[in-house]
Amino acid sequence: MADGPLLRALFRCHLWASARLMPVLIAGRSFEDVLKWAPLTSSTPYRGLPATYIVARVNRAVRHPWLMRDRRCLREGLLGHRFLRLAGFDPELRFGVDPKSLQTPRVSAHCWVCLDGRPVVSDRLPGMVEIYRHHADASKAPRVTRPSACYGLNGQILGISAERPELWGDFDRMLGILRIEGAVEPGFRLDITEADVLNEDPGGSLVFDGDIPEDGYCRMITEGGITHLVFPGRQTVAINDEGRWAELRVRPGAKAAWTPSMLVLDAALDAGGQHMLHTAGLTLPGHDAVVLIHAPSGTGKTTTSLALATQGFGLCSDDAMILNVASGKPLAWGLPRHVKIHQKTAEMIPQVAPCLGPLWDRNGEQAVSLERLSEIVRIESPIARPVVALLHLARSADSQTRLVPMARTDAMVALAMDNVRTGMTGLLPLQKRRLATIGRLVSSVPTFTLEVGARPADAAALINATLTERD
Amino acid sequence: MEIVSGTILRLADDASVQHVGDGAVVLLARSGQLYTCNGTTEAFLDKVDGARSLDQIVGLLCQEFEVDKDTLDEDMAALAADLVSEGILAAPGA
Repeated sequence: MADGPLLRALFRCHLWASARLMPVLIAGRSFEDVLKWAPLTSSTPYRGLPATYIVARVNRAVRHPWLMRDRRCLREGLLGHRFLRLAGFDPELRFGVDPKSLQTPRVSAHCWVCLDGRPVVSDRLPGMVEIYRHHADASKAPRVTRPSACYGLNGQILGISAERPELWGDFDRMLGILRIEGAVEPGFRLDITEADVLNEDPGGSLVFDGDIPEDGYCRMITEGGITHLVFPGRQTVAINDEGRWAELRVRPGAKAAWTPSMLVLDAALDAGGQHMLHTAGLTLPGHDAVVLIHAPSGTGKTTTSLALATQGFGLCSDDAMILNVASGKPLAWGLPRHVKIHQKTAEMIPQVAPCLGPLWDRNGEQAVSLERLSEIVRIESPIARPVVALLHLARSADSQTRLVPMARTDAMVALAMDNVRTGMTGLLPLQKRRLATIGRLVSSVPTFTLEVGARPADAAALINATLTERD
Repeated sequence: MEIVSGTILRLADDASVQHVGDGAVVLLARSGQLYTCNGTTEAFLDKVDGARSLDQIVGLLCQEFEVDKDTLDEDMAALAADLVSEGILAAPGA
């Protein structure tokens, strides 16, 4: 039976009954008998249900235990393993003990369920030593190998698996040159599946409900450590920041939204201590140091970036830089995706003409690959470089170009307004970390306002002189 | 809310303070409103902990900035009232 309301109703009934009967049926049984509740082989009547749905339902079923109150992890573990297996997944039930408790009358033990090696129901507790894995013999269990790809994000590896490579096309367009061939262990995993029926009503708190530019209507819901983004009838994504995994479900033939991919990339970067900021980034002429240029969309980041690039600056990105402040000295690298050049930009920077084609989209723009742009300006490779300044771009009121110091607090507000998203329930954890990252950036580098006038290229000499003097 | 010397305040649940070297920025998460703070406001917010009274905070600020307590009493009461009205500070039980 395919995923649908009937299958889900049957699943919920079965789970509800199992959750209530299990404490009675396993009371006083041996460990071996208890494990029979987590069979290693079984039929798969619930095949088609997403793992996130099963896990969320299991957590809900054991939320208010009236039996086995002190053994909640075992209830969760057995039920999680059992129902994941009944849905055709290949879970492991892992057991651990706290070594310090071995000398005490009551040993402290814990269990959790892993899928593809990552915890999905409960998690290993700090200090616990794993003592047993309940898992079908890999040599006997048939495994289906899905196509997969890995991308190196300067210290973090994003691994993506899907039924066919076309499903990760968005990621390839953004990260193609960061692709890693060969066997590597991802630090963050994304699983993409096509599904006729999407889980559009996950339980939890509604964080956002409204339209997103370009992508249309969506809802964001948080439940425990999982963030769900639902584009009804099109796409859903479930992201577990701490578990370092995401599941993207797409409806065959539906127009794919861009936001879920960006959200997954944000989560993968965050898991590696990095944050993507809406800024341009350019290296100073003759230096490896990066200057970040921030401005809301439509202010002229791309025009200014290209103008600076024609004056000897190296272009890292015109609108998406990835920042890492872990070492105390901010480092940044550019998302190596195409540059969208507006007709007006092309008029102001005629040097880009050889890279342009004859067709413009409905926004009056055309996407130009970095490879193509490298024929006329220096394109920097996506490696992390030290940040030397943060510039807030503004249009000059009198057409003169100026570079003037900006209060750190004002720079922080300007950058946070454009990069930190608040929701109905406050700041999500990732956004809190992003805010702190922005704070550390602003505290660490000089901040300026760059007022750009009629000739954006004039900014090059000003920036170069000001920042080189500070060296 | 009346602010007197014995008033105890805390940071509102949805307020985050981010220090940036020469001042601070406060974000109210629910509304998305951002505020910049000068050094004095930053020092005041640093001492608001849900346990100290306004009088105790003023005492600490007097030591830190070597200013007259009477002047600071008045200024800090006005600042506290502003911060409460903006939703940045709240009473401990609120």
